[in-house]
Amino acid sequence: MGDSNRLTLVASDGGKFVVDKEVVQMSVLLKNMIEDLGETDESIPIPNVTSPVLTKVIEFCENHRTDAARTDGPNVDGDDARMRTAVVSDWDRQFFDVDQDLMFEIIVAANYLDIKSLVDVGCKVVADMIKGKSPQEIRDLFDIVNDFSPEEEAALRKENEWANDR
Amino acid sequence: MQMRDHNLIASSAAADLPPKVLEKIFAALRSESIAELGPSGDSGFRAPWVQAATWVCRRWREVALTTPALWSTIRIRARACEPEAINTLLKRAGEEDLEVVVNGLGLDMREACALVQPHGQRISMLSIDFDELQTEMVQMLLMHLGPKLVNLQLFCDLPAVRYGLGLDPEKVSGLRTLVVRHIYVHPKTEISSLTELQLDQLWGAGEREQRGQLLYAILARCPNLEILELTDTIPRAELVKSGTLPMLEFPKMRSLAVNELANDLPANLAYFKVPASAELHITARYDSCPPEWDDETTVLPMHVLPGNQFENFPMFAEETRDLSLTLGARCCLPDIMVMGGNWCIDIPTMEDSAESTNRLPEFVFHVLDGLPHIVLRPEIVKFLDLHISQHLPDFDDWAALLSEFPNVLALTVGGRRAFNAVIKALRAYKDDLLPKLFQLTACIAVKIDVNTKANARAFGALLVERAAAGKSLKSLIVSVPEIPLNDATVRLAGSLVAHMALRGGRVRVERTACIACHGIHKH
Repeated sequence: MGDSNRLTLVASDGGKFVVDKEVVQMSVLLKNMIEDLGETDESIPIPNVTSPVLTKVIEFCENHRTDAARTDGPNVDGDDARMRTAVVSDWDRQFFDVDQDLMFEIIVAANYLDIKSLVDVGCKVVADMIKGKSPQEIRDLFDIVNDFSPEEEAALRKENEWANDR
Repeated sequence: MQMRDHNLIASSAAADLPPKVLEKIFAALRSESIAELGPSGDSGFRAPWVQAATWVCRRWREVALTTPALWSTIRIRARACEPEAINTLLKRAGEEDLEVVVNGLGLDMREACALVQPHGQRISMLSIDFDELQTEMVQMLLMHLGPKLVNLQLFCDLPAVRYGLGLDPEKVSGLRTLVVRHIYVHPKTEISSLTELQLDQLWGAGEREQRGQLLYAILARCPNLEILELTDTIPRAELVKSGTLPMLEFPKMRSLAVNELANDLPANLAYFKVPASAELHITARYDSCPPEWDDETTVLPMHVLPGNQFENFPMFAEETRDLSLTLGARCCLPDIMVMGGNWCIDIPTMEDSAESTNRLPEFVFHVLDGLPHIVLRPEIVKFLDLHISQHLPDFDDWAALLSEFPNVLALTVGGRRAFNAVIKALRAYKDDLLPKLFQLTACIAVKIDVNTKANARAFGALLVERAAAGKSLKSLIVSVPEIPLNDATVRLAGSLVAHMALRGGRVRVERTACIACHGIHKH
C-alpha cells in the first residue's frame, strides 16, 4: 500500500509524476476523480497533457497550494468577477516566461484539468500581451493568419466606421 | 482582396485556443479597459478589447460574437448613436442583463430611448445624462425598466426647476443604488430595496419653497439606506426651520457623507439619525464667506452639528477614544479637520474672497476651545493628536484644553510652537495635567534661523519634574519631515532625543509628511 496522501499522475507520453493529493485537488477534474475512486493505488492518466506541460502545471499548483483564494469550491461570484480580481504575481509572470507554444499548452491543460487559478492567471498574461496592440500586431505576435472572407472583411469595415464615428 | 481557403491555413496555438479560454482572455481585456477608462472603456465598437477580440481572425471573432456577456454594456451618445450599430450590439448581448449608458446631450434622445426601451426589462444598470427638456423622454424610459434594475444614475445637466422624475418602486423592485444630479426624483412609494443613495447639487432644482419638503420626502421613502451621500443638496436652513419635516432615521446606515454649506448643516442634521457604528463624514463649507463673530445667523466651525448631536449621532456620545485635530494645513487637507474613531468633520477653507485673506487665525481659539465638547465624554479619550500649523497665532489656554482630557495616554503635538506651549503648560501644572501621559510625540520642523536651545531645555526639565512626581514619560517619538532636514530641525530633534535617552525612556525618530506641522506645500 502506498502513501495515501500522494498519488501518481501519468502524462500522455507515459511520464509519471507522484504528487500530494492536496496539490492535485486544485484541479476540479482530478478532485472529482479522486472522490469517485476513493482510496486507491491506481495511477491517474492525463491523456491530453504531455510531461513538460504537466511538470509546469504541478509546479504552479505546488506554489499556489496555500492560496486562500483557491477556487476548488463553489464559484459564487462567477468567472467574470474572478477574472477582475485575479492577481498576477511576479512569480506567476516568471512562471509564464516560456515560449509561446508551451504557454498556450499550459493554459489549455489548465482548462482541461479545470484549475481555475491557473487559467485565470494564464489568460491575464495573454491579455497583457495583447493589450494596446492593433489586430495586425496581434497576428504577428501569435503567428495568426488573417483568414477573414471578403464578406467578413466588409462587415469589419462597417464596424470600423462605427468605431470611428466620434 | 484575395479569397483565402480556410482549410489550407495552418492554425497557430493562439488561434486554436478552446472557446472558454478565449472568452476569459477577452473578458480580461474588457475588464482592464473598463478599469482603466471607466464606463467609456466599454464603448461599443470603439472599445480597445473589441478590435482584439473580433478583428484578428475568424475563430476569435466567432467566439467573441457568441459570448453575450462580453457585449452587455451599451453606450449611446450623440456621435455613437448609429441605430444599426446599437442594434448589432444589443443582438450580440443575447439575453444578458444590460448595462446601458446614454449621454443624451446633443443626441436625439427620442431615438436613443426608442432603441433602449424594448430592452428595459433586461437593464441592470442605467446611466443617463440629459437636459431638462428631455425629462419627459427619460421618464418614459424609466417606466419601461423592470425588477432587474440594480443601479440607476440620472444626471441632468443643469438644475431642473420645472420638472422632476417619478419612480415606481414596485416596477424597479431590485433597485439598490440611485445616483441623482440636478433633478428631484419622486418615488411613488417606499423604496425598501434601496441601500445606496447619492444626491448631488439639488440646491437649485425644484421650486425654491418646496425644496425642503422634496428632499425630505425622498429620504423618508428610503428607510433601508446603508450609504448616503449628499452634496450641495440639503435645503437652506430657513426653509427647514419653517417646515414640518419628518425625522429621518436610518437604522442600517453604514456611511453618511454630507458636503454642504456650514450655515445649513445644524438645522438639517437635526432631522437625521444614524447608528453609532455608521461612518460619518461632514464637510462644512463657507464657500469664500467665513462666518462673522457678531452675526448670530452664521454658524461657527465647531457648531456645525445640531443641538441634538449626541442623540442623533451617537458616535459622538459613545466611546471616542482617539481624537485628532489638524489645523491650518496649507494644501491637500482642509483648514480645519477634526476626527474621531468613525467620524470626521472638515472645513475645506476659511478663505474670505471679499478680503482676499484666510480668516482661520481668527478662529483658532474657537476651534481649540470647542474641541473637547465635540464628544460627550472627553475624559475617556486616550489618544489625542493636535497638529497645529506654525503660521497660526499662539493659543494661550493649553492648560484648560488639556485638563478636559485627563486620561490621555498618548499625546501628539505639533508644530514646534504648539509643542513648546504644551510643554510649558505641562510644566506649569506639574503632574495635574495629563497625569497618565505615557507617550509624547513631537511633530516638528524648525526654520533654519530659529534657536531652539530653550525649547529642548524646557522639555528636559519637564522630564525631570514628572519623574520626581512619579509620573515619568516613558516614550518619545520625534516626527520630522520626509524632506532633507535642515540643521535647526536636526538640532532640536537630536536634543529632544538626548534628553529622553538620558532619562532612560524609549525614543524613536520617524519621517512623516505632516502638512500642518511641517509646513510642507505639496502643490
